[in-house]
Amino acid sequence: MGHSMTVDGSPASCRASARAVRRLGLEMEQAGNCLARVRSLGLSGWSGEAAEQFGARTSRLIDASDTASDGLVTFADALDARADAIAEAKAEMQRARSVAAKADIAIHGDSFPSYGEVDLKPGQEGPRDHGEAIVTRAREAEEAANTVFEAAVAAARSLTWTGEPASPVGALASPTDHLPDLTPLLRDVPGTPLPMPDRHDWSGLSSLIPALVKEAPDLTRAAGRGLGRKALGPLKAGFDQWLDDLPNEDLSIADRLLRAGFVGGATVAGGAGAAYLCTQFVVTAPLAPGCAYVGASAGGEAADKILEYADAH
Amino acid sequence: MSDFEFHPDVIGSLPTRLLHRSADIGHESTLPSPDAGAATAGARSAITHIELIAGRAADSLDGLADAITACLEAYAEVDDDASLMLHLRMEMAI
Repeated sequence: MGHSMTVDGSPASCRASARAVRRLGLEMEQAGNCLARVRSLGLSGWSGEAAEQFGARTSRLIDASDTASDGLVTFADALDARADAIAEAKAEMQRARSVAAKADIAIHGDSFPSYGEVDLKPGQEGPRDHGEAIVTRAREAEEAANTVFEAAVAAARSLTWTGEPASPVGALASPTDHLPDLTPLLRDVPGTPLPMPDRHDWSGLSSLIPALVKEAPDLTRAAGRGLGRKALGPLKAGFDQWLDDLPNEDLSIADRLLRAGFVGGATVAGGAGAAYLCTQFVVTAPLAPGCAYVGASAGGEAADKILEYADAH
Repeated sequence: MSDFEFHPDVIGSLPTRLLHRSADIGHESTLPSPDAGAATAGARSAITHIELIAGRAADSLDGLADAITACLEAYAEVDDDASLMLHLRMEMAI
């Protein structure tokens, strides 16, 4: 039985594939460089917890891009080596044919003849042996190259993209997850009513009433903070009521004191209540002083309306 | 005060860079399968796997760009509200 001189595979096809893989590898490298610039530029204008996560996420992507780029370039090299091996094996088989042709040894198909397959004339044994040795060495070299290439294929198939967790958007997916990063900015500036999962829902406000009563002293202080320079607001509200009641000669002094106290107390209660509610939500917590002011105004107005209604009836 | 700092004029340029790079990877991520002789089946499998990796890489860049855009939008919303409330509070103080 002769020695097959068939060499499967296309060097041109392997090289075309290698070029494409190498281009992709270079794109990955460019992506890594781009990410490095993005990280550098981003961190030059961004600081805080979210910025740290941004930096960490970008770093992961840079590492992943570099790893992928290295893996792709290595595989491209392997494809080129495979193309060279196939081309060399084909060339060696062609050289064996030439040796046989020069010695006028008949070749049938793609099989180099063994002893007994063809009738050798004197002087043909040496060239036949030479040709057979060429075919054998070429086949061994091809098999060795194939083993190396299969290892490269296995390495390419084991490449992983380590830049991203399962979530397509990842850690920065929800901006509200990072509101703690933003809220410090708003410590002195009232914020925005974004949802805060770790605080009470509005539907749970009724449960706050007992706590509201229990924490009245603290709330009064909170209202006081909120009222700031307007700490005399309740007294002023009560005094205004006193002045309003002056024309009403039917009222006794006790009535007047009661009515003024009612308006002043409602002002304090409104401010304290509003301040407390604001403190129960992260986003509105910085607003507590403003809430107290608004609540106090609302409390005073409500007391006025109640007195007007009572007087009318 | 907080150490928080965010300059939208700087950060705003980042998503576009990432999206361009993602598109470049996308353009190069369709690979010809080699005729590698005895190893052709394995090589084609590796090529398919590499295309998958390239897709994930592009998705990651898109995802980062989207996340940065979301941060910019969140900042813009908060900034608008903060400006309004700052105005109101200053008005109250005055």
